[in-house]
Amino acid sequence: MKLQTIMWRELWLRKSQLISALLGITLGIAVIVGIQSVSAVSEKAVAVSLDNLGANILVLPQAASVDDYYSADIDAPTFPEDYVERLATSMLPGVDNLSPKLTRRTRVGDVPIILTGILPANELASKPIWQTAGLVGPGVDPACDPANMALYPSYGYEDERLQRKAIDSLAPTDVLVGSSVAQRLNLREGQSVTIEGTSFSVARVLPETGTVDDSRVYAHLHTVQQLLGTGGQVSAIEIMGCCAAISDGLLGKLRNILPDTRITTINQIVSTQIQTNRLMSKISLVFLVIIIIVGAITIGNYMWANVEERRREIGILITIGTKRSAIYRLFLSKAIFLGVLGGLGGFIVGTGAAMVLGPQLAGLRVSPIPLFLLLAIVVAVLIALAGSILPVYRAARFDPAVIMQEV
Amino acid sequence: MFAIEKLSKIYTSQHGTVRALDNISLTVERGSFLAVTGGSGSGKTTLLLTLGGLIRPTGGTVSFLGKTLYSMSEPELAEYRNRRVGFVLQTFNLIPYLTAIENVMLPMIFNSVRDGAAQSVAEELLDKVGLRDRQEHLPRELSVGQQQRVAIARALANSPDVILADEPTGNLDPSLSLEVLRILKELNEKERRTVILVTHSPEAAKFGCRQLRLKDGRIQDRLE
Repeated sequence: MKLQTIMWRELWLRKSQLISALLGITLGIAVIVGIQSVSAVSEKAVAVSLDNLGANILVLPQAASVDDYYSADIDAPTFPEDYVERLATSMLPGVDNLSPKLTRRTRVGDVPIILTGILPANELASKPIWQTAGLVGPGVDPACDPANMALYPSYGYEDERLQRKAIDSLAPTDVLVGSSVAQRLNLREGQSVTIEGTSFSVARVLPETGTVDDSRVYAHLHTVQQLLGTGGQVSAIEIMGCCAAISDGLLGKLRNILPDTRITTINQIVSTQIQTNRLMSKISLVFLVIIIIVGAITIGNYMWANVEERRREIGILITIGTKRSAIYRLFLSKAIFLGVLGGLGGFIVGTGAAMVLGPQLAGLRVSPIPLFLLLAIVVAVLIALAGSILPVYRAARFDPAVIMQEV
Repeated sequence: MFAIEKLSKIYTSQHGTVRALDNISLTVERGSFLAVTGGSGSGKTTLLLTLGGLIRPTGGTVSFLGKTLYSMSEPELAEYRNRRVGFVLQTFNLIPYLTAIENVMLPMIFNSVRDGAAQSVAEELLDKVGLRDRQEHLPRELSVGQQQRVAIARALANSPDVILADEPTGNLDPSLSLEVLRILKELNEKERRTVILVTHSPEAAKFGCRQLRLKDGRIQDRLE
């Protein structure tokens, strides 16, 4: 017989109390796990949506302004395209999609257009060293990942690549035409258009965005460089930076890598991303705190009643020479057992509920998150221990002489 | 074995103070059987529990084999109760969800005795009190007399020097009382264990080789 035998026997004797306490902690943990599972997926979905707003960091030549970038001034300064590689090989965490651009105003007939040279994703991916750096690859993850990306292999969007406007491939003689330009030049997909004396095929007419993009014509970066005679120069590098990393000083790190450039954030996008993530984190935190308090009170109440009910046996144990440390061990091991079982049950119930209700209520596919099992058990054990400390302290301080006189 | 010097215990509550022990001095020899009698509130249980390391006296000293009990630390006192003393009490008895043998093994578990050794000692002790065949029974499946015999077996678990019995026959009928008192007497005579018996019954007190009568926390009579 061991100390644990006493614990098991007592638990078995008072099964109904055990079940009600276990139910309390299980439900509490289930709510936490359920909310966290859904919010992890929804944060990811929100991050994808926010990424659709476009890049949030701009690398511009030192002498250029953000206005130059948008107005595509013909005299706007440029910098070498090699800077993209410098960023890619720096392995900076929080840097997603790098998109170099060369932009100039020009005309097709009488219609003014903004000719924008871009590097399609397949060319970025073809550079092995960039792949090693993890910046491009077969999948596109949202830049504003609120937690560890490895935890969330899928977040319910099958068409994320499209939503993020990634341009997978673009032949040197193809162009993508903004809706306003297409309308004014009466262009459709498959037709040809001559820009700066070179003929291009319209690969796609882009949907209307209501922004300056509607006046753009996108062509391959290297073709545009040739047309404009700029050599290996670009006017900007757009970066999708993780907003958490931006908060942690990503801009400073980028400036260290490219000291002769001007690095700026697109404030509206970044602030929206940061605010949204903060709001969701705060809501989750509020629930977590409430449930931890309620859970600790439930367990504390149970342990208090249990200690009261066991006054006599505690008295016996102290009388026969059981040290107070053993009384602590006896009750705290019970609290740990309750925590482990409640955490496990809570994870199963919470994840199950999130998987069933997630698609129905939020239209999100929720998958079990293994790390949450560990967290659920740790949180449940901490709740059980926190709730038990006072009753157990009281139990270890019982005066057996007083208890004997009560009997 | 015990040397008690000017022992006093005062309980203080909002209703006033009660002097449970008042300047008691006595010695208890090793291997003796001391019966302590007295009316309700005379201080006999307080004296017993003070000797058992459970009630810290207000004044005076209790020495056990030359060592002052209440100069010991809390863990040392727990060790003293576990190894040197066996308690047999009136109603304060067995753990309800442990079997008879597990109840007997309990003090040994807290004395770091290995499981197998504890099991065989517990079986021997239950055999000694005639309950070997009931060892797997829970307390509620035993009669009151059998429960008290299990409690005696448990008191002997770590082979203590002294047995402190507080009204061990209080809840028993005359024949069961006699049985329990005979076991205590046997332990004293055959195994030379010191027994201190607190009882309100003059008949039970006759089992002691010395008698002490308390009144209002003071020694009223000594009978050798």
